[in-house]
Amino acid sequence: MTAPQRLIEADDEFERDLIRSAHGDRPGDHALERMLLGLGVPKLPAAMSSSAPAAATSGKLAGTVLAKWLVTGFAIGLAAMGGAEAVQRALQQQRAHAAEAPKSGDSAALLRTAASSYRVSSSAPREGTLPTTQISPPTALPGARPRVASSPVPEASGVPAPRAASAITSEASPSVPSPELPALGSFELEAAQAPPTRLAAEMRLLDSARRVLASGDPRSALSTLAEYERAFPNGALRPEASVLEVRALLAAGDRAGAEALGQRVIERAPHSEHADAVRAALGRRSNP
Amino acid sequence: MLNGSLSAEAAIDKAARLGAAQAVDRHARLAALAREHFGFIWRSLRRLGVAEPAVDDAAQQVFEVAARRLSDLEAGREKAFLFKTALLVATEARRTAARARSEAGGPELESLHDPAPSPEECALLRESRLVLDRALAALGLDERTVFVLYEIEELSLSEIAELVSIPRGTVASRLRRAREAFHSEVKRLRARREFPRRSL
Repeated sequence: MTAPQRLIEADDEFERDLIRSAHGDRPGDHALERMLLGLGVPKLPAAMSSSAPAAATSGKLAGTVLAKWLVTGFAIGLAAMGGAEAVQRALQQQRAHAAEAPKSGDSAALLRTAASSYRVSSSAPREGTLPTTQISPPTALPGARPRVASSPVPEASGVPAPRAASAITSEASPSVPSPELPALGSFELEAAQAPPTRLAAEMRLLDSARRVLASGDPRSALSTLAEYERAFPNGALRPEASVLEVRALLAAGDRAGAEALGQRVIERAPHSEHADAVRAALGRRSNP
Repeated sequence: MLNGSLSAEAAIDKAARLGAAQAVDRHARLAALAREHFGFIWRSLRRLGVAEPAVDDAAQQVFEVAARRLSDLEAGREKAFLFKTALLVATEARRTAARARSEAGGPELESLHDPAPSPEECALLRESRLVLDRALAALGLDERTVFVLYEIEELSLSEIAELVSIPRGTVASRLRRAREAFHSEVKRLRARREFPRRSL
């Protein structure tokens, strides 16, 4: 099968110009930067944000800086998990270290540097989502969208944090006064909601189903998926919902139901990644 | 007791560092993903029918989905995942725009706009883009997708098959249909452009 000649190489000059006109259509200067901020990815040091190979080495340094101040966010999660006392001890220990002259690689010093440069905001916990800590540069880019502070990036820390994380953090922080570390209570806490788009609503339901399934409760997952079916009979994420349902049925011991649904998913789009996921779940071999 | 307490603190510290390292990896991966594919996704959304002022938001939605699925994203399949998400987002954006048009006075609103902007109104390039968008709008989503990827993004038939998860033969047949529809629509728009009065 030979690929046809592209219109941009064809004889029709008018059509060539049409195609060529699309090539100059590109995002604005700061669109990528704004979007990354919206995703909660902080503006990284220039060396790390560079896509050049040099970033591989200098990126390590930037990664270390990031890691240091992200420790705070992780500690917040731990505090919310009921380990507030233990975290206080850890922070006190850090404070004791910080009282000494800052040394290269000292996490408290790095935390202070980061805290003075960045505003930390914690999104409000929502039904079915995890509260997350996000960090924005002190000065907003021109035209930066308000979604910057509210974009959900669940599992950012890789740690399951309970819904009341922000509240617990607020209460716990005043008991850890520290001249060296910024008091957690001084961080700006923002209760922001992502725009309730249809797609976002679908994702929330599926995330919820995925979580309960992962926690070993396939019946609840199936019930959430049934809710999804009712709410979004023509949902954009239906294939993904079907894959989850296959897994939930298997986990619930309904092999026949899983096989039947899985077969329908595979027949609908045999070459899709959803079909691959179903085959994997059912232990079937993928198509060559 | 003291030792136990210290080792607990050490464990917490270690866990915190591990968690932070994961978050760093996550941010770094997301940033790398965005840097590599943002332009492609932005252009795809635009040519799949998302209006220019809405493309930045639509692109953000695509990467928000990717951020939520980052741990599931298979290495090497990121572009396909992002593009499929872009298709969903573009479909929803077009649906929303159509609904807004309908509520604002009927689906004819767009067609009331002069299909042949004069040189005074916009530059030649902009005019070409306008005609291109009109011609693309005449294609079904499946055909439009393949057309955009082949003619504008200049991907190969095999790359498109991989990206959209359809057989290469289906890509070729969709492209054939897309080109026929495109030629015919361009011909029609061109006639209106050159003889605008006749089309009124």
